[in-house]
Amino acid sequence: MVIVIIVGDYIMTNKKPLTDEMVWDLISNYDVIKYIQKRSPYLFTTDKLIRYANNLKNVRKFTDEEILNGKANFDIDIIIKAEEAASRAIQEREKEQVYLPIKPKKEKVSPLFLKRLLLGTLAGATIISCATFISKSKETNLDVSEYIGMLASKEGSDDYLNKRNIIAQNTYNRDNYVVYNLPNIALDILKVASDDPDIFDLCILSAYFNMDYNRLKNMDEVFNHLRINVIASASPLQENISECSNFLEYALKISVARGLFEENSSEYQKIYNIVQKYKLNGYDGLEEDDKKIILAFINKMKKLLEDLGIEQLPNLQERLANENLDASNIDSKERGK
Amino acid sequence: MDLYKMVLEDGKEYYIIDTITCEGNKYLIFAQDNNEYTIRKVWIHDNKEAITKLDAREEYDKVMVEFLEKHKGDYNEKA
Repeated sequence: MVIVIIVGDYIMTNKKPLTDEMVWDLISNYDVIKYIQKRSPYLFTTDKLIRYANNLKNVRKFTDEEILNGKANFDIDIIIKAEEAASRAIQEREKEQVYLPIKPKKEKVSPLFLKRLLLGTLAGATIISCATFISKSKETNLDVSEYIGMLASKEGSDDYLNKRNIIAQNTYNRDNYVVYNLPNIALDILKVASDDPDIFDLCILSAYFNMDYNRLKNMDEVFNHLRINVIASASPLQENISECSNFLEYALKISVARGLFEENSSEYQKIYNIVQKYKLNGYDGLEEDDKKIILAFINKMKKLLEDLGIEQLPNLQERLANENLDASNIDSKERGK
Repeated sequence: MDLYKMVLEDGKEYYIIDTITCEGNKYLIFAQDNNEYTIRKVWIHDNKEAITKLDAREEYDKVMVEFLEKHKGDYNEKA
């Protein structure tokens, strides 16, 4: 016997996923199972349900197309019963859900404190979101995973490989984009960023370069401002020419992205080669002509970065702190609307 | 300036730094001063307003997109 349970849209409407126990209850009571849930976000539950269904004997599996075209032969009464079961499951879920009454306490804080809270959240939110914008290329995704792993554990540390592997294992493809399923990545990155803004800068840039498409409009502006925020306290050009390896790497990438050079041009290749020598032997190890080229390149990049609007940062922070996040925005009247 | 804070399910105290409306629901953005943050949905429960956890990662993503979009607009305005 084949019984089909259609519960996807029902759950979608109620915006409540089924727990494992409820899924099992459905499967135990019916022979099973086809779960139409294309529009529903609860992919994990769907996967689990289908996996259980596949383990059942005597189950004929319909394709979505068969069901949608009416070619699947199932009993409408069974569907109704299944929906009732789903309804009961949802009610159970409702009981399990924890609701906290909103009882906020007011506290006096400085604008600087609020600014820090907001920037921290924005940075974390951007990292989490950018992870979902990264390229469809598996190799590129791996690069970015390693990059984030490096950030989280510091390159060269004993923990580097372990951390990188953990992150890679928690990175999975969903349709045509990847998601980092690791809640503390943003925190790790922010922690590193506070010590090493140049590395954070490169991470942001790496994610940016690997985006194939944007879900956010003008995402580059978000990245740009985030980058500026994080490195605001440090000179992006580094006062000490002998310690700007990270910046030069970054400058090479952004110079191409911003159209300063063609990646295959001889001018770019010449600078690229000098930067590699710099990384190997340091600034003092360069020939005099190469030093001049590097300095000219840095000056050119400095102008480019200035054109990107570094000076706008103080205005942004003031606005965020003083206007848009005043606590009155969330007073009881507002919440009651 | 005044900022609201409250204790969440984990027993920790969070500041409420923003409210976001997304697909007809209202969400509160909570943050701690160690850069940890989380989101809760405002929901009517027993005829009273309460907060509850989000249903799925996708819901979280949508709210974050709104949050970023909201503040991206602020970035572009000159004071």
